[in-house]
Order: sequence, then structure tokens, then C-alpha cells
Amino acid sequence: MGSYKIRINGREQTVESWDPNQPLLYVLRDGLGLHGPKFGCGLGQCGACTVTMDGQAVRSCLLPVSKAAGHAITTLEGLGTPEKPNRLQAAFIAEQAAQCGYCTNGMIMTAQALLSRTPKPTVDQVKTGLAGCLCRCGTHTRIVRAVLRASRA
Amino acid sequence: MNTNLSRRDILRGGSALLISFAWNPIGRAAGEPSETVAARFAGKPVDGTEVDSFLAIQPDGSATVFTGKVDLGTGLRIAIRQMAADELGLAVARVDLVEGDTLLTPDQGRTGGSSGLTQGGVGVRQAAATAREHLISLAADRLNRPASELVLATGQVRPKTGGAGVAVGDLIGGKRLSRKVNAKVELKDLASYTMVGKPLPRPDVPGKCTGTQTFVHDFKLPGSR
Repeated sequence: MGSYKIRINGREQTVESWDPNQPLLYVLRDGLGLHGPKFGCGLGQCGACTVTMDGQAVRSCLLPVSKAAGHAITTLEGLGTPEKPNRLQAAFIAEQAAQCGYCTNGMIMTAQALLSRTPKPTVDQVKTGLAGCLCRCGTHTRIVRAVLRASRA
Repeated sequence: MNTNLSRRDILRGGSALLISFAWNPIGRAAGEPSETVAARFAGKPVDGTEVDSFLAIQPDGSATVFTGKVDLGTGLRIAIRQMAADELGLAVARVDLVEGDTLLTPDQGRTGGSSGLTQGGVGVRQAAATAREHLISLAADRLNRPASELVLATGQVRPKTGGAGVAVGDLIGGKRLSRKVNAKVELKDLASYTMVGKPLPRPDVPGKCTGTQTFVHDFKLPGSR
């Protein structure tokens, strides 16, 4: 069993995995109980599993746990709590930018990385930036509004 | 795996699948687990013809509404409370909701195809309006005034012209209403709605935005791997 040192939500953790290629998503959800990131397609196509690695949005369903070793991973839980949401989470709540909520993790984590690169995005930059995250409920307009709201906060 | 699990054991293991939201909880402590809510209402009717299947009024005058429809993110968790609150003359914060628990909630059919409010909400509204009529008739006896002169508002049945009223909790609180739902009951006039039509925040959104909402695949049954 391999063990990997990963900084997760600001805490240095040692995680174990039977396979260096095990997706980080499984380690986060099943090993650490971090249910923010979701299993959507498992193929890196929907965005529901997105976390940030050293500030960049990555698909945790495709990222092998061994490749996360030595890096800083942030999940949705690492941004804030219901009592103390970060500015993006607060903006999503204010805009009520979730229906079923399955894509919300990917939308917020991808937007988190987007805003760190582009603090004042245009509408088009938000749309392009989130284009890889699929929402089937049709919450897109609220999501775009929420990201723009956060960028002004 | 232990196969003799009760459904409540499973829900307990599931860390509150049933009610995973702590919003202005009425009649329950903040974050009170589903099984203690269930225990408190154990044995209540679930037959769709009974008002008690849809509604319980606590001694403090707050209400708990039971609906067989479930909120999949479409907002009925708040909307049905708004509908019941308007019929009962209560603030939305004084109305709690239990959704989709077959031991506690009436069978209102499947949830989908926009039936949540159009069928589920209407069923709750009819039950609440029937309850309102009953409360007003109880108060009419108590106050020795005709029902037509009384109104139910802000947790009290009182004369329309003003004057002393009776608190809803004092009329029926903690007791069953024991009435059949009257499908022809007079519903509140659209123009008199004060809660319905207001875009109130959905209680599930903060959890969904912070990774704390429990989705079905986020919990394990006891002993499962």
C-alpha cells in the first residue's frame, strides 16, 4: 500500500492507496469523507469532481493520487462553511445558483481558479471559463451572475 | 452485514438523510436528527384524507407540515411552507416541513413533471385551509361569536373588527385535528397572500455550495463498505 503526503484544505495529510493510479477523487470521498467533489462521469468530461491543485482547477476523477503527492489540494469544503462561506460560495447562495446541486462543486471550484487568474472577468470569460462544467438543471444564468457578483465582492 | 436493521437504523447511519437542513426549526431542536422527529410523530395518520396526515400544530402555535413530495432542488421545501403559512396565517419561519418519509408523510404520488406544487402543494393547502376552518369554529365556541366574524392571522383567531383572540396553540396545540380534508374548502383569496409569491431563499442551497449537503451516495448503511 503506497502512502502519499498531500496538503488537503490547508492540512498536511498522509493518505494510503492500494494503487498509485487510484483517482484522487476516491481518496477524497471514500478515504477522507470529503463529499464536496462529486463523481459525475468519471471521464473528466463533466467537471463535477473538480478540486484545485496549487490553485489550478483539476479533475480529481482523472488525477492519480500519486500525482497529487506534494501538492496543495483544495476542495469545496476548504473554501468555507454554511456559516462562513467564502465570497464565491456566498455569491452562489445569494444568487440561489443551484438546483439539484450536483454540478455546484465543479462550478465553484472552477470559478475559484478562474478568479485567481482573472479577478475581474467579463461575462464571456466566465462562460468560457466554466464551459467544461456541465449543468443539466439549467442554472447557468444564475451561475454566471454568481461568479460576476463574487468578482465584485 | 446485519440484515435486521430497522429503517430508522438505516436513516441514523445515514446521518439524517431525511432532514439534513437546519433552518429555523420549529417543533424540533436545531439539527435534531430525523429519527427523533420521527419518534415524536410516530403513529400519526398518513392517509391522504386526514388533515392530521398533512399537518400538526404545536402547543406554541407553530406548525409542522408533512408532504409526500420531495425536493430535488426545485424549491418545494420552501414553497410548500409558504403555501401552508398563508392558509394558516403563520409566518413561514413558524412552519416546519417533513418531506418524503413514508412513515410520516401522506402518499402524494411521484415527484416530477411539475406535480410538486400543483398536486403536492395543493393537497397541503387544502388540509391547511380545512384546519383553518376548524380552528375558527373552535374559537367561535370559545369566544361565543359567529365564525364569520373571526379571522385567523399571526397565530391567533380573533374578531375581524379587533379585540381579544385565542392563540392557535391554545385551541389545538399538541392535539390532533381529527378532520377529513375538505377538497372543496374555501382557499384563501389570491389577493390576500402575504407569503406565496415572495422569492424566499431555499434552505438547501448553502449546503450544496459548501459540500455539506448529504446526497444519496454520500452515506453508508451500517456495515456497508
